[in-house]
Amino acid sequence: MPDAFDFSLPPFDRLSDSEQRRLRKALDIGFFRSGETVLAAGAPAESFFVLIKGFVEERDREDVVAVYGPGDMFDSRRLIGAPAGNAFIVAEEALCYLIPTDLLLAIIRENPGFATYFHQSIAQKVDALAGRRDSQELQSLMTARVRQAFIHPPEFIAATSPAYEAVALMKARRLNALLVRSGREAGIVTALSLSDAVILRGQPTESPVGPIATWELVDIQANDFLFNALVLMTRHNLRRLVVRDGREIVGLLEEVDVLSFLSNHSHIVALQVARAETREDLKTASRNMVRLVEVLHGTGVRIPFIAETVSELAGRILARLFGLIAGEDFARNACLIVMGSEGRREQILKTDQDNGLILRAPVDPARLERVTTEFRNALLEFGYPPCPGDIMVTNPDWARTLDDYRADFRHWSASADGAAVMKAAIFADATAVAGDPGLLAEARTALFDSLAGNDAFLYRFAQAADAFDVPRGPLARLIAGRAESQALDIKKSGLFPIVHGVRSLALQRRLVETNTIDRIRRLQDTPIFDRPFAEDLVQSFTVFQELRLKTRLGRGTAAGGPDDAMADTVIDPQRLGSLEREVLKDSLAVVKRFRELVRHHFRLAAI
Amino acid sequence: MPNALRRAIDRRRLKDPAFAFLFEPPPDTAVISLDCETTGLDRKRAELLSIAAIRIDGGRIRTSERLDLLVRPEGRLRPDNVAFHWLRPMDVAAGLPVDEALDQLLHFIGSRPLVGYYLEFDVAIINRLIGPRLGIRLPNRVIDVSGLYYDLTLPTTKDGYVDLSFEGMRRGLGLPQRPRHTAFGDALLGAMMYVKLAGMPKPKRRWW
Repeated sequence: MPDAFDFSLPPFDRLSDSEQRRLRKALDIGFFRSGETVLAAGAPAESFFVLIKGFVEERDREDVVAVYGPGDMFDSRRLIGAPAGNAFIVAEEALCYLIPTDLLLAIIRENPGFATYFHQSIAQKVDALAGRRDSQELQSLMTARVRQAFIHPPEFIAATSPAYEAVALMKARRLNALLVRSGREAGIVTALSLSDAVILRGQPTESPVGPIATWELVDIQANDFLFNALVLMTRHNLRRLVVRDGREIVGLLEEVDVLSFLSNHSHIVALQVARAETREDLKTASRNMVRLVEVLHGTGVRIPFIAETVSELAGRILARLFGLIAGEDFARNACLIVMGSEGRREQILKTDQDNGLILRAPVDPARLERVTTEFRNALLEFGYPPCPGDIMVTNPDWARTLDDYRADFRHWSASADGAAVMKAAIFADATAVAGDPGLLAEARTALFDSLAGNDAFLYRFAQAADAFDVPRGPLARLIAGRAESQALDIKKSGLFPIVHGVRSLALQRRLVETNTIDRIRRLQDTPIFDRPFAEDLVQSFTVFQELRLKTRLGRGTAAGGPDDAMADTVIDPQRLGSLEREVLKDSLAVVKRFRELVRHHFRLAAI
Repeated sequence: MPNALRRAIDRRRLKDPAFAFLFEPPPDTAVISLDCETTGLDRKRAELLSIAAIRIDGGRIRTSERLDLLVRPEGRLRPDNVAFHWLRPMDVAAGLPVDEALDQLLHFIGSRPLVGYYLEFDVAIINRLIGPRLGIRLPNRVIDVSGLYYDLTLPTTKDGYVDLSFEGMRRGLGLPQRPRHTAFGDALLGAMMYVKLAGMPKPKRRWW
């Protein structure tokens, strides 16, 4: 009932009491049967809808572009005067509040805070979702706060308790220190001070801990920089600090935890890579990378930055490993390339081994085989699974001379079949990680040259973006968080169409960039699309990547499987909040627009 | 007595011509969900404490056009009944005199059909209160949601048992849980039940 309208639901929580009263008085409740049209395509809306129960689909002709569930509202676009395009049709009997459009517009005009919600573009909504995640620099790691490290919850013991009890408690809780309470005073007693007292000074095990404890606590605020904690520990020669939030003691910070937190910093990993003398050293560095991703994500660093850092580090590991195995002279006359998500520098967790070699001139086959096999095996040992498509240096198709590649490109261009399109797509994302990058630059130019003007090839190439259709019905319902629904595959429905569509455009326009976001930025100054659309596309892409990382970290598969495994890209609707769902809906709508744009662009080019 | 005949008789008995509209054909296709809170369950003695009426147009529950009135009872409130209707003496002290509240109600409902849960009781109380003054009973058609619910549910049950409690029906229809014990809350739930039940096809099997 209107008396129970949930005003805590954003953006209604921004309304003043009198605005809430006006709204409450004007509310109606609508009931719509399954299949009933709530808003017809192109029709103006007299009401703004807030769903109480049931599900409503937003359809663009036959395609479901979004699904709304309890607590969701629509249609903001009509409300702010955008062209009233899509139809809203009930998927499952819907009960909803109807807010008169006129009244809502009046409140929007009067209450700027409320208005922003409706005017927010996708980009801004993403920022709202990401909250504090706007610091893009590595700086944010250097400015990590005490509260982000592991803080041991405080364990107290009374000052009058006997020493043996303190030891028993430490043993039970696996602690090295306890806090001691005496009235309002707090002190600390450590395993070391207890053993000093009892063993070295021969005090009885029944002696109270009060006199043994230290009553001058060295403390730090939970909000302070972790760096400062380390400084304090060094200065006072302490192994732990008392952490306070205001005056309250919230726990103990151990030196070992500070160090392990800091050791996950990317530059420490980078340092490990640079100093690596043996494969074993590199392996350790490689392992630390996974933990680094978790830390970076947890610290609120944004996905594109994480991907860049991880790609950078992975590249260094590969380069160093290649140098160790191949030797200097071999490396000078070859270029080690990585492809796929690694080539685009979008890998977030470890990926398959998608790599290849470009040789300046033919080399002794036995030596080539020794180098490539050793390289592949070392990577396997590091936890990089083999590429299921066998795109690896051990495959002669992907370890050949520049001239051989040139011949391949001509062949691909002439045949324009499925295999040729796939190989071109793979090579289009190649990035040099070791050896002479000039070889890759030459190969790339050759690829562009052999495809130039071949509109039929480019058309086929772009068509692959439609390989997976965004399914409707059960899948779309999932977006609304329905428990029994099937899962939404982030990769098929979101990432792949963007990555491949952008790749197609980049190939046609001879862009040397391989990163999807970089490519979009280059394309935004062309007639293909404008800047606001580029912005939406980048944001949507980021949303999908973020959801994927979150899902994978949530499943605890971070350390394990390949980045490209389909199973890992399915999202769990139960874990999505309503803001996340809103953003996901908008992002799927952007993907849809982009697919149409790509289709249109290449169809025209092919005619 | 057939309804038409009863209406014809009542129409002649009407003492106040200002209420002749109650006997006109309904001005539109709307129906009115009605609920009253009373001091007890004895139709001869129970007094009105509050009245709520909500207009329903097709699938649209016009909560923005509602009547929600507190009534000042003529007698004293019995403390043992406060637990039942949740209205303390101080709550109803600000209410309207009963005749004024009923006049507003009659103008709000007009000759439209009434919808509610066990509405027979509410209508009986209203009839008792308007009878001496106007000389009539409410001529409106009365649609009881429990009757609609029973007819639709019975064919789907195995043992012929249908939970006709208000809460049981709410659960059966999958309607949201809302604060109750107010005339408005119950009238709204009644309205939701009605829009859901109205026009629902006769089921062969379970339909919720």
